[in-house]
Amino acid sequence: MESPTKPNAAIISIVVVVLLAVAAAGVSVLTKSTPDTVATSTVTSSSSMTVQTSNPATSSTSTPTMSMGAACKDGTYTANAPYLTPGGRDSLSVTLAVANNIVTSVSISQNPTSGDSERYQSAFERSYKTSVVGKDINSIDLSRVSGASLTSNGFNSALDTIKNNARA
Amino acid sequence: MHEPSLRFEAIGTQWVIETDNPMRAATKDAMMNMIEDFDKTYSRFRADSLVSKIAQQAGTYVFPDDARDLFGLYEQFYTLTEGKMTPLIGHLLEELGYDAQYSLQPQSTIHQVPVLGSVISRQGSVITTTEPLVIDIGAIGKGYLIDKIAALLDADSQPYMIDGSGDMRVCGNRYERIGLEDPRNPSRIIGVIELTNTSLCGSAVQRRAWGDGLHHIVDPDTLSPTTGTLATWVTAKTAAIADGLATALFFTEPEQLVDDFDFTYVRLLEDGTVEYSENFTGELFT
Repeated sequence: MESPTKPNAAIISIVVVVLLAVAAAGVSVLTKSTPDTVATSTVTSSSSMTVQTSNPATSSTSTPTMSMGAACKDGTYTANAPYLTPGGRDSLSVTLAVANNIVTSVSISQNPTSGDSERYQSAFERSYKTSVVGKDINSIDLSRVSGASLTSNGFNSALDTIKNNARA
Repeated sequence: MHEPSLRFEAIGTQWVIETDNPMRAATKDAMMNMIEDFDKTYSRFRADSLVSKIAQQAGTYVFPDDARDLFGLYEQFYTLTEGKMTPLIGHLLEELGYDAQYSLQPQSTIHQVPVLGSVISRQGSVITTTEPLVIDIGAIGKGYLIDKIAALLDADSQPYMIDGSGDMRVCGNRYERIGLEDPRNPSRIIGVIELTNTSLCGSAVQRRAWGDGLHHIVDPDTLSPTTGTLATWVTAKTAAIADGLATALFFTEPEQLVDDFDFTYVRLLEDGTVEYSENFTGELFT
């Protein structure tokens, strides 16, 4: 099957939205950087964020967990986010600059190719086609399932009735 | 990790809402009242609803203020699908059997679906009709309701996951791995999508189905349920848009929709192939 050669725009937008939401909500997960250092945080699949600072002045590492309410300090933040593409796992790096609690710039660097910082806003240009198979739902790690909506008891009873009538 | 969760039935299906901390009582009350108001306005399955009155008699009817957004979105999809997605689909659904009594028996005579604009006009949230009309907002309505619930939960400033039976919206530090249910066999999934801070809607034909080829996604041009597509999934910024697009993809091609909306999609066809957008952020099992 064909695989896209560029990372998916939507996962980039998801990561950016997450980071913008973090910045907008004033969550002090990412640490402030001085012009000489950049704090790095990693978005993990358990939704917790850890931060390591390499600030020589403090020479300490801190690992705050997500908390709401603290002001988002001015500075530059970088996050690395893994994501899935039909072709396999990939990752990208997003850098935000925040001033006065407002994100003033975003740039995205995509691995392995260098990124286009406007890409996350654009719509898809191509669709792909492939055959799919069903896998046993119990063999996959899931939090929930999306498909046809469950029906109400009223509908289910009615369905049973007409099936019974058809058999009669 | 156990999350506080709220489970209830509403608008004909099962809901789960998870929040990091238990929902405030005031928020929960406001939400339940809002859902009841929504049902009492838009449900064609209850005799006391506004749409049931509109089905009885022509006239001028005042919907809640935000109906202008819902109907505005419908008008956009109506144009994009060349009339196939229409809020006036209700009577056709009834005649095919999906009526308020769940008779699930198709009528012998099926009538044409009125053209939007010929018998109904809108000024803001005020609708005027020239004949009895059965309004059904199922193509977008659940997503729209999810967005309204999200707006209430946003005010509480905590992460949440709203699952209206396969149509979802997540916000905050929540990460969900969603299985794409195989409509041919619900014990199987055809792929996985990872969800953070976005909406996902899935549409499929195998549950709300009541006979040979009879299901709830019906084409006003053929006067019968659609064929060819088994299921669609769409992610978009709002659940209303995701829901509308998931329905629209039964009627039209993604190229017709991409200029109006930013979205990702997967569409499963009867022959077992899927089409998916290049920005689809998940895994399909091949």
